Amino acid sequence: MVDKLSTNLILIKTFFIRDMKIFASYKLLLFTTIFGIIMNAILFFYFSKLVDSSPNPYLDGSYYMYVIFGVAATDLSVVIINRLNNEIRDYQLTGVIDSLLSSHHSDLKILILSYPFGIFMALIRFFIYIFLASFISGQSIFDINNLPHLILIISLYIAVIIGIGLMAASITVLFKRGNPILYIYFFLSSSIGGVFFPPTVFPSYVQFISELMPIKILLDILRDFQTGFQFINVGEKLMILICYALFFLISGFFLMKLSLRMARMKGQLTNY
Amino acid sequence: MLSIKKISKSFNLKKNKKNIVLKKFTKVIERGTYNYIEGSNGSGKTTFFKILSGDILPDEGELLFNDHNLINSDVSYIGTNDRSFYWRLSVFDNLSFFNNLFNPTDNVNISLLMDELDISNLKDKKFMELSQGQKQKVNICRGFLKKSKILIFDEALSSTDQEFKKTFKLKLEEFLNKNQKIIVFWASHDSEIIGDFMAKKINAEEFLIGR
Repeated sequence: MVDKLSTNLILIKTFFIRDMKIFASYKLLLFTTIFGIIMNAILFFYFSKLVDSSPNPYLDGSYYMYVIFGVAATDLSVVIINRLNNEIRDYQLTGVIDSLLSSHHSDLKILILSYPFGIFMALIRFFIYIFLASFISGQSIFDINNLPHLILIISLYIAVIIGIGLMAASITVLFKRGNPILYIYFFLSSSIGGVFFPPTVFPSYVQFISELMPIKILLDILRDFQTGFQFINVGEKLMILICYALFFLISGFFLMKLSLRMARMKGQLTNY
Repeated sequence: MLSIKKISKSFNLKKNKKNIVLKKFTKVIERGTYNYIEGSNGSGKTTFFKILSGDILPDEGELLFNDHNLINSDVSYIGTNDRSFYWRLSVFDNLSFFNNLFNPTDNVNISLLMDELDISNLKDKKFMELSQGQKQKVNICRGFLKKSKILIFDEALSSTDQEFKKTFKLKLEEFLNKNQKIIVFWASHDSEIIGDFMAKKINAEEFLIGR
């Protein structure tokens, strides 16, 4: 048990260092990443003035904070859902996949080990958005006492999107390009997920679907942090996130195992 | 002992045609043997090696190593694929990564291995800065990192210089002396090295004997 744990910790550290060194080897990547986030935060600040200049029946507070939560949560989703998909594509394109999967560890474990750095980067980007927006608008965002709740909610949401990411990656293993899961998820999230505007502008049946979107659940809770968060009030939403996490993780693991086996049968695992 | 039992593999082609690469191929390979696979291009040598290394699953048949199913970690495949490294990382970082992957709690001394293969001068170079031959040397070095029971060299020395071939031969001899139960498979058009080992020949035509 201890041996297994220490082996896994060594592997997590090994993959994290690998990803960090590759990231650092692209000299402009860090700069353009941070610059992009700053520009988005500023752009939405000025754009929000247009919306905030007149009373809005669909919004309780400022549009800027509404949209910045949406943008930050979308960014978190994009980075994490695409992580494994992009890694598998990179592994196939660079040809490193066969040497990675030739170890005694399970294929699934090796592929999942690319997540820690991806999650780390996604969280950094998320918090840069939030704190930058807080700085620009002068509004406080989180009460420090709610930090454990915030960690719990974001962890649950990350578990959900890792599951969706696994499902998407299993399609990439077999079909290489043109992933419908990513397209559907991002289309639904950005249109009815409450990212850029409240879904209350839609007819009631669209609102019902919107309420089931994982990103909408996350955003509702995050926005609650600004307007008076009560843990007891979000119990139902947390339960939905837990169910989603279990469903998507189990389905994702199953589909990934299946697709890896099929790719090995067809001799296409290393093709791109 | 490696028992290859009735292994078949075919790939689907267009218009419902199939390319049969292996048909009920059966063979017993003793431990501590050096096996040279002879065959023309496209005769199925690499497919056979990829089945041994687990990259490709056979359609039927089984592979047993000492009466248990052959697993990925039993086999070290050293081919010509220089794309199987991280080009933006240094040679040492690459080897270190694979060392931790193959032996997380029981690392091989990379510096010593690089010294033995006379490639220590490449340590700090980025993989992308290496010549074709140097990349192949690093590939061979990685092959020795994995403590496998079966070593496969698939055209592994094709781009390396004569001097390295001599160094490699010494290293392989030393390695085989230390690990006498290792099975070595070799496929190469360069018979220079093979001639010095007591290699058993397997003709790729045997793959299709069941057809």
